[in-house]
Amino acid sequence: MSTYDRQRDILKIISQLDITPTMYKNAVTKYTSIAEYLGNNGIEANIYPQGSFALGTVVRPNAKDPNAAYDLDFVCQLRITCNDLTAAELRKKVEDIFTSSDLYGGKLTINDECITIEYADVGSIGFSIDIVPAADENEENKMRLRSKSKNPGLINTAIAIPKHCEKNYNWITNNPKGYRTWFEDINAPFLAASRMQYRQMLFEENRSAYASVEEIPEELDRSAMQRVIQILKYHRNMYYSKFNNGDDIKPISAIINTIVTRISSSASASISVFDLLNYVLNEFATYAEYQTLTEERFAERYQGKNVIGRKSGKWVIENPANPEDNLADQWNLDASIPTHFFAWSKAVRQDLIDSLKMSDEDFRARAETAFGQKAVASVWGTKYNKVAPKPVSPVIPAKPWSAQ
Amino acid sequence: MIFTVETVTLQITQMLHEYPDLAIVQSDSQMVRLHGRILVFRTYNDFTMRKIYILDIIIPLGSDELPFIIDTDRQIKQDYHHYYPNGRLCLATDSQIRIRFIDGFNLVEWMSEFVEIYYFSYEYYERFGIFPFGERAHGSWGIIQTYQDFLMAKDEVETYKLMHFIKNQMYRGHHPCPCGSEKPLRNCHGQAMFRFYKDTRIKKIMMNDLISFDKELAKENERELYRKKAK
Repeated sequence: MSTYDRQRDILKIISQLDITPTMYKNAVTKYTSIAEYLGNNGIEANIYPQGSFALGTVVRPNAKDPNAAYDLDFVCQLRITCNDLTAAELRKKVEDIFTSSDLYGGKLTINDECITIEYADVGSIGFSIDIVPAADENEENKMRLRSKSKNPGLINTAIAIPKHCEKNYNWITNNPKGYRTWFEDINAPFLAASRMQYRQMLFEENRSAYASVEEIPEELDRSAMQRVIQILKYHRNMYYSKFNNGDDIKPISAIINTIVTRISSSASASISVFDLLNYVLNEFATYAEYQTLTEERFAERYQGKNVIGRKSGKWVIENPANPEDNLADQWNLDASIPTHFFAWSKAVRQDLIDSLKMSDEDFRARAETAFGQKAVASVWGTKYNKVAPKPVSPVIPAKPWSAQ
Repeated sequence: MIFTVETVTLQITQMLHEYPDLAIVQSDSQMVRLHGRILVFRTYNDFTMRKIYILDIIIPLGSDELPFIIDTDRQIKQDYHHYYPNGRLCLATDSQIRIRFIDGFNLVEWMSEFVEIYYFSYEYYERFGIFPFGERAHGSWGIIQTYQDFLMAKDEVETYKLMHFIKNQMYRGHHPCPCGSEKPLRNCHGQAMFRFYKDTRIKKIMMNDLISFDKELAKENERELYRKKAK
């Protein structure tokens, strides 16, 4: 089997893990009706997606359960600034609207960070909508952020969100719209390069949801860069599911999005998914040297490489839309996080790049480890290996031991 | 005695059927030595490994020594901590293997349950830095941990109590469980302990381990006392 066929087969698995056109349509209907409800009740607010739904990088969240619900994140931004009321007041105001509303069949849960509406929907797979209340950031803070930012043009959309802090709420700055603009600017040429081919394929596979190719929303187009992010996110979910504290030590999606996008900005737009993945992983391997090199030695050896930084021993991954947000904060609190990150990126290379040149049987074994046996079998059947691996299931498994 | 020249022949035939890339390279009254490649193709918890290992399998004859493996091509990293410097693999505690095969040693099952799982654990550890099924402490503590699994005890101290109970007391289902739960034995650790009462061969293996452990403990206590006096 050629390398190209294998790449295409891996992409088939990834597209299965993406949100379907039907589910996309459904989610849009749901959040539009929430916005309408707010409008009808005299609340002037703007509801918009953030995170993977906004960036087109959704993957099914739970690696252990192929039927797990998708989490889609939204911001509910009231047309006020954070000077108009306190964080706790905004929080209460938005909470009150939601608790008194008909949620179109959804189930409401109020958390410290957000309001969650769960929908059991579309076939067997449900989704939940997480809504973060927000107000416009004040001018004083925006001025400060602009003066620090490498991308001052993005700061205009900065928002303030209530952050739970010891029984109270404080304002913190965020900028999902700015982030999306930054992401889409870099993604645009990659998207243009892959668009027509991809749209046609999506249409052929979803004739029941859309009447023509033109009807497929642009938000469902996926570029090589978006695919690389999806591959990495899903592989991460699988890899870290092996650890009891996997959710605490895995690289957050914002880190994957940011470093892949920054690295991609220096790649050719017509690059294939796997060439880009290879390129990104090579860069990760370079940044892995920060584990042993000093800041000065690294700068000497790799001039201009600053996607991941290490200033006076402190890991730095700057949020491109918020210069005061270091996405690697947790890396500095728990040193095992960067260690695992670089070990994981090596595993990605073995599973998805090195495996392309292995025997059919070894390629299949690697893919099963990367995406899970069920996900692979549901798309590939018995392709590449008709023989299944023998499960390990002794009552008391052998545990290595030595006398001394 | 685990194998004689007569008993080993049939099992080696089965082994060569199961692992066709192995061959006999030495055979005398002391031992049989196999050399060659085995394919380890196993899966657990969505980790699938498929890899060929080159090894020597040594099966002692006319002896109570267990068969063992030499990593001929040094495919295991030298700093892996379950590996002897001479290339011999630390598969599992002898007691675990002996109790598993109390009704007769089976080479093919030993390969599948201990040798392949050793390689599986190694690859898992290389990838994730953790063991899929845990690991044993080195030396005597590792042996106590073996019984911890058999007895489903919560820690080594509880295991030690249960082992002494088995050694010194009769089994009475309505008696309180020695773990201190105040439940009757039959509703607590009794079920796990029962096999040691039922099968004197298993009990003997456990008693021998307990005696060596107690001796070691006594020595350690003596040393501790000596250190305190010296201060």
